[in-house]
Amino acid sequence: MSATDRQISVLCASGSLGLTPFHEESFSEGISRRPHVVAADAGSGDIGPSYLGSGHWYNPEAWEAHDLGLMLEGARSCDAKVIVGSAGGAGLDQAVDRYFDIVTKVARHRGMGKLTVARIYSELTLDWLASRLERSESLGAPWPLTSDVLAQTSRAVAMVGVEPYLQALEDGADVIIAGRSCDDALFAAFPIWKGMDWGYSLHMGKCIECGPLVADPPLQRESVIGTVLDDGFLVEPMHPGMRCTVASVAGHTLYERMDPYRQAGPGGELDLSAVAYMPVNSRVVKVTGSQWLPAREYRVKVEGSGRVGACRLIIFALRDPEAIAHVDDIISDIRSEVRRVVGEADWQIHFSVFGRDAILGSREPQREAPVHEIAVLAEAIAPDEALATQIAKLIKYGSLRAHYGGRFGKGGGAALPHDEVLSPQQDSYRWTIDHLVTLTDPMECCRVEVEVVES
Amino acid sequence: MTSLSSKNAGNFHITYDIGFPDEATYLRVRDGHAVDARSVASAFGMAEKDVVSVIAFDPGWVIKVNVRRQRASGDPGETDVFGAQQYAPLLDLEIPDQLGAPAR
Repeated sequence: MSATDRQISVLCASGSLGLTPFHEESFSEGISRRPHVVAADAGSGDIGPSYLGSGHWYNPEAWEAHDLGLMLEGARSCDAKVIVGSAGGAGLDQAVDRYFDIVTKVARHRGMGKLTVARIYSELTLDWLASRLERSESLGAPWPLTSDVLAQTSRAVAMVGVEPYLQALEDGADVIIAGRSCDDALFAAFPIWKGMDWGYSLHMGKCIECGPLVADPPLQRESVIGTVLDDGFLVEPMHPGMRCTVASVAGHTLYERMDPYRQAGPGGELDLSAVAYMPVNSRVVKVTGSQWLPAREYRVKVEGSGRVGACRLIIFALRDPEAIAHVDDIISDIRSEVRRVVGEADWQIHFSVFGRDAILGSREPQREAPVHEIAVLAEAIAPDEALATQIAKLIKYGSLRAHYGGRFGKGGGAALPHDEVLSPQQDSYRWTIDHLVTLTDPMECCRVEVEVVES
Repeated sequence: MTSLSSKNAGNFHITYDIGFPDEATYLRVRDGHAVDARSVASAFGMAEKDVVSVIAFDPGWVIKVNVRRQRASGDPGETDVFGAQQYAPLLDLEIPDQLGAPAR
């Protein structure tokens, strides 16, 4: 191949590995193109801080095994690498190990021969973070990273860039399972390792990391292929009913990002201000002009989550117009009753009034619009389950015995879907760390372990 | 407008993408500044300082608005962890018919 017609293609099997099993038809079409890499992102910060903090499993293991198994088989049939990042949703070390076990099991079960599997761990200890407080700065969190913040943190991960992936490839990996990663990096690593342009490789990664969302219509769990060329990259959906258009690809550049022109990542910034989108045919778009600008300092994003307490939920609903009009009084009476019974101890209740302003809160312009029924979701949070349950029961009882406008609800002042306190499997968590940490070496925040699996 | 969406941009911000059906409409809104920090803040009854940025995206005929979240995503009291339904008040944003001379 001459230097002018190099192309490296990466098949995105699913926009989110294991979220629901992906469709096999479009994946098979992708495999028939003989891509160099079969990849998928498995995580996101969107799932909130609970999975990171609690280590609770995000997807059903059977669905993750389904996706990983098909990816392995497909990749073996065309001698492609398998690359998966942000294992298990939050990208914790334990998820990397669980994916590794799934891969090992599938490889042995299907007699795949010798497989070199790399694991990239990016979970951080609080000690590691404590020694780098002075090299941290706020990203989204409007507070500095301090030892107090660390004391409130249960678990933390670094969001790695391409460097540990490059090392895994250098070490001969056929399969890479990584913890928390920048989604574009896991798709860009192989093209970059093969000497392709950083800007095109990373922008390609951003375009295909959510799979079908870059195409029109964005049918879920369908495969998409990105091909990095010397003078740009191509994006093509594998489902025959979908197509990439200039609007769908350009539009995806905006998705879940604040700035469509400049997107910072570990070690630099993607400059998209001169990008051009061109249709190659009715289904394929070519992108040119993406530029990678290396930064003077290597900064990596760190996510941390801290336990707030045990959580119990109760839902009550109101249909009487008088009750609806007095919902704030009812809530205020419930709070008083909770204080009377359990004191001012370390608890909190969050009431969300659905039908009024639950979704937008203080940003709801139609708070006063007439409604004929509302539901109140109450979230009781306390240091332990027993107290959280007591508070939830007080809320339930308070809603039943609510009195408002001079009336008492003798038969029950609220409609209860079920006379039972709801017990989420996870405790309540909050984001404690959303910061950048400056590194002297990109590998400082992670480790790569390579193992040969024989079957 | 032809498309309107909201979504988390990181754990502490929400990004709104307001898409227009044709270039003329897009330019009219972009150059007339019908969508700016003040109009967005007013649509939501939020402080103008919580509107972090308004960015026009010519390749997609989209105006992007970034705001601070009322609470970090998934924090206690969360009702929209993806930020998926936060755009609704923008449906009522008034775009005047004439907004100054179009650019170009």
